[in-house]
Amino acid sequence: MQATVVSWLPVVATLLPLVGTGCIYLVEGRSWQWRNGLSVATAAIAFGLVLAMYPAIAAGKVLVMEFPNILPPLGLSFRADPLGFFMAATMSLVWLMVTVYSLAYMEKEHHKKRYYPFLILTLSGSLGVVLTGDMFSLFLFFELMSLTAYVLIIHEQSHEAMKAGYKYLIMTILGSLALFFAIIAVYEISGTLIIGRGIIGWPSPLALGAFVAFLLGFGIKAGMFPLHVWLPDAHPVAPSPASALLSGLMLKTGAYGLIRVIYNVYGISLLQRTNWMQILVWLAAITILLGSSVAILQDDIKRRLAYSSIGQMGYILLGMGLMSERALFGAVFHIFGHALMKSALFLAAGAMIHKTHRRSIADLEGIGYRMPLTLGAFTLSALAMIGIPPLVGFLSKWELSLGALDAGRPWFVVILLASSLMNGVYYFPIIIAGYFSKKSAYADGAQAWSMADETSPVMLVPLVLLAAGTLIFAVLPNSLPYVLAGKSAHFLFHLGGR
Amino acid sequence: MNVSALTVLPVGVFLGAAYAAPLVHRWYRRGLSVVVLGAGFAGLGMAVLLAYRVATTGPLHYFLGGWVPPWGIEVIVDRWAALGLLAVTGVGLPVLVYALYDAEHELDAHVVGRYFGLMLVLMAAMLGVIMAADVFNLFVFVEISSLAACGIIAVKGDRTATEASLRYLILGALGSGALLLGVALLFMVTGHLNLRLAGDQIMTAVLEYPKVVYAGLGFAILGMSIKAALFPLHVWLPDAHASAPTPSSAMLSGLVVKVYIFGLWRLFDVMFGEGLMTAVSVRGLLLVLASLGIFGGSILAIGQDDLKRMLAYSTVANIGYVFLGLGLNSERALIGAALHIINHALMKAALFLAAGAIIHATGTRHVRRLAGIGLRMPWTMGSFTIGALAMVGIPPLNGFVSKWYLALGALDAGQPLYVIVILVSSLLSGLYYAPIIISAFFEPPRHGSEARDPHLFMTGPTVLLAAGCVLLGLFPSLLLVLLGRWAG
Repeated sequence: MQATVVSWLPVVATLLPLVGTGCIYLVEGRSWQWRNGLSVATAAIAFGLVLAMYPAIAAGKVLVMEFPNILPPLGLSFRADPLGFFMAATMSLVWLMVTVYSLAYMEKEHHKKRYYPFLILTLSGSLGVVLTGDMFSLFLFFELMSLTAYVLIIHEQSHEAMKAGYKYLIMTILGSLALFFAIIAVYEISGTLIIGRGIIGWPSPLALGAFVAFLLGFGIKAGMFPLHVWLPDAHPVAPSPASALLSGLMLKTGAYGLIRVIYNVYGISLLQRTNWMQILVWLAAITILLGSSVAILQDDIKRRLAYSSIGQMGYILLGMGLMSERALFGAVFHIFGHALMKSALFLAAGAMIHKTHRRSIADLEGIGYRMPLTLGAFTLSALAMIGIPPLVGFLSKWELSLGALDAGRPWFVVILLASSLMNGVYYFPIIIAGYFSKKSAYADGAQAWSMADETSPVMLVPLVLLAAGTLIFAVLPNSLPYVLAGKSAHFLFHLGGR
Repeated sequence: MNVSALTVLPVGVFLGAAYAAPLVHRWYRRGLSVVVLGAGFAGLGMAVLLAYRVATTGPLHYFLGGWVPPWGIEVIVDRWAALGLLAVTGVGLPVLVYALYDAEHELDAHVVGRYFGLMLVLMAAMLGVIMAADVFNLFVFVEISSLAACGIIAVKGDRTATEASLRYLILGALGSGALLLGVALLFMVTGHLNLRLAGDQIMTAVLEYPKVVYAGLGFAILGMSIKAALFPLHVWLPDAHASAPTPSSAMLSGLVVKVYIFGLWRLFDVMFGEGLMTAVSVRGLLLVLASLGIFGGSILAIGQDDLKRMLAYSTVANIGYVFLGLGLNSERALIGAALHIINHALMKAALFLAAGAIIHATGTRHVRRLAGIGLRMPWTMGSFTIGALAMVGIPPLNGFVSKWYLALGALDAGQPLYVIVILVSSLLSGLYYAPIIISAFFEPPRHGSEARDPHLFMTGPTVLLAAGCVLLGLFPSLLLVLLGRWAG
């Protein structure tokens, strides 16, 4: 058992962006400088607050705070254990980068008054998902995040955006109703919803029904096959920084929810006695193959990235479903790794689209002559995605494969490798044509690389930092994310909740 | 037994104000708002006081003229009734405030006085239904509220409103007839009108005259169900609620239909008792009809173009939730039903008031012509959004809380199927509310639309009701305190 400490930090970190949203809304009428500054400041302070939890987490403590009088008999509770802290730190870091990037990306866009408050409001929802201490509070913030993300998705208000947004909204409501059912069934069975160590005692039809409903509810968010249908429409139509958040972070809240369901609500001992996890494992395998293979067929760069996200989410779902500590380690680390890689890719793609107004991969040939740094960051993240050592993607695939072998399922290693191959098939053409093609109209016969058309530094810095992270966090000895992912997996596997 | 004259006072206040309103309006037009608001605030204050006393000291009784039953008339305010009083006065007051300003442009000047007379009579009658402890007074107050309700629909004077109120009158009269017949039959075999005394006799009566008791029970339930718009007896509701002036719609959809469920519950609980209810399996029938109503209402609502008709069909579905709770009859299901009565009153009143303001400002009732008004009427449309999200059951709004209890109640009763019913209908309600909100906030406005939030006294009540949805969603304990020991 871990020592718990009462602390306001998880509460403040979650609610600060909520307050920040209100402040941004109030000042944005007066001055856009204040609005931009406040947005970045809120994201930065949230990141700082999350980091402030580190000493306690490192000392092996769990931070908790409960408000039993709100929404009785359930109450609202906050909690940060290694996994929650790790997720929150990843989220607030990437969010900060994306907020900075937005300043330049959104400069000439419309409806900025709507964009920034909702950007920060969604941060509050996302942090709330990972820093809450019971399934009900988690559900509450999950709803907040899902509904506010709608506004980011339809930002362009074009016909396609509205259509994709509507699909997203209906799927989200469907998912939240499934979660509602699951949570109510768990509450009926066990009389509590705390994130503990397996609060359901024994298998029953209702428990199975709840498990399937959890898979449905969180699976929709995580883009799990066959519930992924909203994702390839919704992620590309959003403004690129929002796409980065949607693909890089918000998908992960679905995976995070499922981790909590598997390891904290049901508990491994119960799931090892039943074969319910097979549902998740096989759906994850299909998700990997489907996402990676369909991505090859896409010509729109953001659509290709969106399908790639589906495939990568499959890795994470597979890792948590194999029920081996190592695979879980791989999954948790891949949550972090993919957050960096995919947001860097989307930000790089956004920078290219912002400059050239072209989204088709065929039209982006030769882009490397004009935007070498952007394409460089893109390349680094894409290589990490394929799993080339020594980048973060390699580490997570390594652990995942070892985990699959630990679980005695070598076939899943084959699936992982096949998918890596397909990742190569759809990422390499972009990189090669980008650097070396001479045909492109955009390259305009350019022979030498030039920095003249490189995107503005405000956009470049966050995206290069994120891409560099995929290298740094993999080669650094005792890299903190790696250690934390291991700690989270260990904690979930052996210690559970309180 | 606590005896207090305070129990009957709210009814008296509203009845008195009802007589005063037309006269005051005739002599001194500005005095009208003083009368209406005075009665509204006084009623609310008394309801709060009563609820507090009931929560602390237990049920309150009053015997009119000091005569105890079986000779005298008894009035009872228990936890259940206290909740009803709070709902009626709490939601009624903002609606009345809204009506004071809305009546100026929605009604002819010369009917305004009479309109408020009818509204206040309706308030009095609803309170009477809730606290009546004998079956004859129950019938009388039901009848008064039906007639007053007809009046506040027909007051608009146009063709559709008149037609709708006529249809309501005819079906309502059928319902009243059935109720009266049922009351008479039950009186015949039990010898009592007082619910408690009749309830004591009913198990002996059922042995001697089973057919009479069953017929009486059937007629009484039929009569109340017509008035409460239980599917498929809801046919009068959509026209009536859609064509009435906006404050009337809010009052009718939010409160009036629910009040009859209070009456029905009292019949079930006190008069028929657990023995008879199980013997005739009324609850099974209620469950089926409630589920049909939930689906039927939601599906029909999806097909509506007229904003107010859509809201009216949504009421049919939500009545189904309350009946579902009564049918499931587990403790938490009953808490859910009671919460939903008050929660739905808040949401639907907010929605109707917002819809009225929108219709007034844009001149269209068509749900697909509301593009962009969210930015022009932020307060109104914001309230509408909160009401709609609460309807869908998004936490932490109040609709979520009542659905939570209903769903738990269904599981307690061992009927998980009805959880699915609740969830599917939530999804369906998302299907008809979401497009309105989306187009209002995220589509470019039409040219030439100069819509603005209406006067403060119309926007205020709407926002207040929406705020109530948030408040009761975050702190349902405000009501659960009252419900605590009631269901057990």
